[in-house]
Amino acid sequence: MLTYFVIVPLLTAVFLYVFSSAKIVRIIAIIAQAILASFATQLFFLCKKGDIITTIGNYESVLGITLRADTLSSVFVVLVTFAFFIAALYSLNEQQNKLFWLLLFIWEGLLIGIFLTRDLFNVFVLMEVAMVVVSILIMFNRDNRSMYDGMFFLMVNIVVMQFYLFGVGYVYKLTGVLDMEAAALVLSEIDKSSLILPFALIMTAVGLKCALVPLYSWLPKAHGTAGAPSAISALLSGVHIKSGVYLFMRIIPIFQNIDASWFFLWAGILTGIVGFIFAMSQSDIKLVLAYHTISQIGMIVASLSIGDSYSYMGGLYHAINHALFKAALFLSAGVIYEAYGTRNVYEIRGVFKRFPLVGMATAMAILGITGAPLFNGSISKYFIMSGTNRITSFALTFINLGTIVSFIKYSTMLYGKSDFAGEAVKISINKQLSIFILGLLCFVGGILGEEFIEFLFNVQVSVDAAGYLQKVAYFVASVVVGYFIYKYFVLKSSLLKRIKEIDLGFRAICVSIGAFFAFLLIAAKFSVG
Amino acid sequence: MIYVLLAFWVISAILAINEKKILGMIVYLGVFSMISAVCFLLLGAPDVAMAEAAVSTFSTVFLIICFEKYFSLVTTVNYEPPQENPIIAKLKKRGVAVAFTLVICALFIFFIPNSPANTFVKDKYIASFMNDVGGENSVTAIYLGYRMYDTLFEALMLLVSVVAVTHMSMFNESLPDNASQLRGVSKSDKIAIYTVRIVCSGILLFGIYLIFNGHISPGGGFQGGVAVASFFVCKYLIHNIDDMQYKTLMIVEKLIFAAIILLATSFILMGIHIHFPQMKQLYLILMNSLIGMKVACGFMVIFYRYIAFERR
Amino acid sequence: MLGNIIELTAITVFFISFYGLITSRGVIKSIISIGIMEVSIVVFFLSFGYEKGIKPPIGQEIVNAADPLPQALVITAIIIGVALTAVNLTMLISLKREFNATEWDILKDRTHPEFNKNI
Repeated sequence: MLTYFVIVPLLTAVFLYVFSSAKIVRIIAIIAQAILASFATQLFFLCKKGDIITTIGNYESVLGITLRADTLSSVFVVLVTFAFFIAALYSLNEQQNKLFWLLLFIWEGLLIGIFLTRDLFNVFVLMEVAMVVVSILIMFNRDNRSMYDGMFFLMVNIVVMQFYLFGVGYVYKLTGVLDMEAAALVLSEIDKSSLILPFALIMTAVGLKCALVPLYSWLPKAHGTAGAPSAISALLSGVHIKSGVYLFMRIIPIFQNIDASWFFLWAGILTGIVGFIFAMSQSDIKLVLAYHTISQIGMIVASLSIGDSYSYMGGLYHAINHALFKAALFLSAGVIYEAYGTRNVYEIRGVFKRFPLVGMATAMAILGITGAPLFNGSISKYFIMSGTNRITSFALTFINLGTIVSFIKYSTMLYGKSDFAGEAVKISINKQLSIFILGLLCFVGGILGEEFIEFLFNVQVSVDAAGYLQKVAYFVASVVVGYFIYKYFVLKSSLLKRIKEIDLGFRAICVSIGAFFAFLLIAAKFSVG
Repeated sequence: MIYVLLAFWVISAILAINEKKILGMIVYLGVFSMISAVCFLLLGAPDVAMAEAAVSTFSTVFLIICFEKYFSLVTTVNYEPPQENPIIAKLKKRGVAVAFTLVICALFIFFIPNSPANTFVKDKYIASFMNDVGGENSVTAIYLGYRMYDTLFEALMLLVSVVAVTHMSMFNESLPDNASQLRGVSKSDKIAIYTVRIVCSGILLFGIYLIFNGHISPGGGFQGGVAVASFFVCKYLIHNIDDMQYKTLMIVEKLIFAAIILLATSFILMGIHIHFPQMKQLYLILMNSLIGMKVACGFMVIFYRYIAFERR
Repeated sequence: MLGNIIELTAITVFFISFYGLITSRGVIKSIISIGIMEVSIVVFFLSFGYEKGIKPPIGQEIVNAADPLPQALVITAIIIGVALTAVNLTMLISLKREFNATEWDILKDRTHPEFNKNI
């Protein structure tokens, strides 16, 4: 049954491309997206009763490929289909090209495949194909800069997938199986020291997919490139990056004997800090958002590595929230660029006045990402904080402060007087609607946060009122501090201008892949002892 | 024998990396691929050897066409990178890079697990593939039966790369048709034309043989498909086909992909192979020929787009 | 004990191509290095359970045969590799047309937003 979730989008893509004319392709596409989303929801309700396992071809389970849907993967499948539905709604009258819809459907099938499969080699194949699809979509408009960005993205990812394949080879050599569950069973009985190498090889690849600290420089290029359609940027930052986080969650349990969570905790925190510092220095709105993705993913990885079940849940919920608010922000950035003709955050003013609906959605998404009370970010950040000790909690608060500072900068474009004198651009209703739905969900996810977590992951959680109020006080204090930092540091600093110019080239990122791999080997050696 | 070959293999890799000229690099890469194909044969993997040999000829062709473009395009570089003392800069860079690579390599080798290969699944596959999937080639049985799901995405990868090549090469529509396209053998060269004619019919036959006997002997859809595609490349060399209907080919390719999915879904996923065991042989042949057709279409489209890069 | 010799050779070639990656000025050299890297991994996969006089896993009665699963995986990896090479080369030609350069450093400078403004 699960294979149909992968195969149906692929078949739809091919038939749409071959048989339909350019006029009706969009209508059929949006209907197909809606149907897929509803089936994914059905799958989610089925999974709540128990895991669904499909062994392809009914061969013996270690011989064939196994697909498995548990609550976690079905939540991500629902998220993927929903995000693609919104993206399709957004680009309904923007994209006339049949090729766009072909690639969009193929991409959706591949992402669902990544979230459902439990076969290590299958993940490799899916990732490779998804990479090429993404790089075509990035350079879809054949804007000259996005050509370079797409190529950079593709080459870096190819290099790191070779490391992944090497690691899969070692896992196969040691265990004789490729299935994740079976491999985990066999690996738990093997001598610890022989696990170090496959662990480091595979986690290097996963670390790059999550854009951890030395390996992040492909992400702003891919996600923030100016020429890419904004629906694509939204999907990249919203759901595609989550495939890396998902792999992180699946690979760590395979190597349960190696406890290198401290390494990923600090790598995540460092990534969070580096991400917001770069975000502060940028002035292109798409680049600001792209660097924020780095920062937030670092935070998610850190919270998944704390080793506390509440923090883990908070990290998961934050991953979902991040998909909502980041997609809303990228889509609204696309609308704003369309209306103002510039991406410079200092030149755009008065969004609220010109597009009240878009402005409101942007404001809600900003409140969500900064963790303002009543919005979804606050709930997930509350749970992340509940498992921390003093040092990590300080570091995470610091990351949140940085996020607030850079979003104060970002939100200045909502107010003020627009000195825009050109022709008034009309933004079509479906674009405004898709952005507004996402923004509204950020608010709903905050009000009904506990219920959402319970509904999604079957875990009973409760928000302690006193603790929450304390967080509210923290938030207000950091907004005040953040405003002063913005006023007296961000606007005047020459250091940030220098940071803005830092950009790792291809060779530098290859070197950092090697260095990350070496560090990971040594870290794993220390954890094993 | 294999150790001598491995030594040559390493040497050719070093030469390819160390080479300064691009053409030299490509030639060394071709040598490297051929040596590795022979290595695969000695390692007991004729299917892989065939795939590598077929594929490496194509990647060499791609690279050479790219090289041809690379120098025939207008080259007026009006940008000078900042100059350092060249000798010192080179020494510094090389030394550091070599040291860095050596350190990582040493770490890698230090941590190699010393447990022997686990043959748990291998024995199972060899014992049961004839019964489960059919045929006599266990490699084909795995990639058309047990791991058909992977093969679907492999076919999808070709489709996507064809889309990428055609989409990205339609660039700069206003550029005039200049003379930079790769010319075939000149018409007066009789010996070359006759040689290619004789060889290319052999290649076509070989490709078809590989496709239809993939389930009982080494070979299969991919290897055969690439061989069939190389037949058309040879054809191009003597005929200079200019008006290639690549759009039709692309549509055909997508339809074949849909057919592959539908066949795989109905046979493997829905479980026809359990109820009708006598269909197994037919399924293997059908699937191999579909994959062969798809691969041939894909490679042809890519090749023709490379040849006629700046033309519509 | 350090694995067998074939595995070590594969690792050596893997790192030779890694060296090629970290020293490559031109994009073409990076593409060729990636090609070599893929082949080295293929050899590594085929080295599992290698013995002298090993036979291919084909035929009615299979004895003393190589492991068929890595072979099937590796065929997939090879096809993916050549498809990626084709895509990379296309991108390279397009970049060359657009920016008139094929070196990473020059491309990086020319795609910089400030550089485009000056034109």
